[in-house]
Amino acid sequence: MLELKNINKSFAQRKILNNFSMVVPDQQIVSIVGPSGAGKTTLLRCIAGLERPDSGSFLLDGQPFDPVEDRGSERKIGVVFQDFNLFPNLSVFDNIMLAPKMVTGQTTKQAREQVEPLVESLGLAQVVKQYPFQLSGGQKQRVAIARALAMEPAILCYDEPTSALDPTLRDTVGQLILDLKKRGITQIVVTHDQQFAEKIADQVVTVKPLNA
Amino acid sequence: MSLTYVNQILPSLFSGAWMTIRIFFWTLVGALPLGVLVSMGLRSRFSPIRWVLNFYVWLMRGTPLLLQLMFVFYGLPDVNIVFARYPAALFAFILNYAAYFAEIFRGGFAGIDHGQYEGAQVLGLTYTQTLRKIILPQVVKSVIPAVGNEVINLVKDSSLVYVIGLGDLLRAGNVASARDVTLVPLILVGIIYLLLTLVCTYALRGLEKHYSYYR
Repeated sequence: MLELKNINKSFAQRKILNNFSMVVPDQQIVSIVGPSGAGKTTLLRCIAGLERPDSGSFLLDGQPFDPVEDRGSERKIGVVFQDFNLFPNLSVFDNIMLAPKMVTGQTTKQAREQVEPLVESLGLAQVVKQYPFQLSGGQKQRVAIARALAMEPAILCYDEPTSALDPTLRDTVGQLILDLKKRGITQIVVTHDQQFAEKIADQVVTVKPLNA
Repeated sequence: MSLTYVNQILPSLFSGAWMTIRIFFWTLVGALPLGVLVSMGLRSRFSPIRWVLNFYVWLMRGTPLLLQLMFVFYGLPDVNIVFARYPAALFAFILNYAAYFAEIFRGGFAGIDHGQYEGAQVLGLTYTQTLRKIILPQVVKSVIPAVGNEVINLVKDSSLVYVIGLGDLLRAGNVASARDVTLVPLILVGIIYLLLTLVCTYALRGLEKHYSYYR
């Protein structure tokens, strides 16, 4: 369970998050919705440790938790970025294997044993030897999900998972997120798509732009 | 252009070409890694490092390489730094070319999407691992054409070492041409330069091809 308490964040005098609090229960899907500029992505970046909040605190399973210091093999938060940020110079397989090998220090064999079922279950077995530029948007997203899951994060975060996909894939990714929930993965989904959020989430959190 | 004459002067031209090749090779070996380091320093968050390195790049790109060669060989002994001719040439060439490479690499680093760093960070990779596995390979790919330009330039710039009395290819041709009052050696020199740059061009093309497996 992840708890956010009174998170504040401003950029150049402009307040983005004002005393924001929420709870993400284990094995649930929490969706964060709101219009552009409301601070959804900033919130996600704070949770992912990519921005440091000005004040506020995080608790993970009751323990104080600092996302910015969340490093190395003990890292708790996984992220699927809006435009995926796959590594173009590495094959699909190496994209997924890189962190298990370099961060957790597994041998290629160990990492392979862990990664292969993941690749299989996400329907990526056909494309493991390809490079990101050869993939469709939906495939890229699944590679990004596999890459994050390979590090066995406590929580997987998505930034606008539907925005880079064509509309027909929207339901596919929704189903995928629900499938991952069945496997016990706690997920936070940032989206501007209220319908999508309500369809997949156990809890929908709405953020509103401040002093708009 | 009698063949006997060509055969007569070729050995001296080849020995000059060997000097050209040595300077070319060792300059690349020294200047490429140094250029990468300087380019990273140019992006440092610590501003004194940036000032010093920007000054260095300005100095190296802002004065003629010929002058730098003369300065290293004839000027530095005044402050008790004495180089023999060949090391002096390498010293000047490496410092000069590293400055150009640094600017090229700086552009290469700037062209990498910040999302690549964040993608690596959320996987738990350290900064060094990120550089080695993700950033540098992409930078190298993107700078090959620009570096290739400098590499071709270097083949010909190496002829400047005549000013500190080193016998390179052009000087060997010059000596023969003046001695025998004929342009034949200089034509041969031109041909040898063309062959050297041809080899470089093919090597660079091969390198580009090697990195073309992704976009």
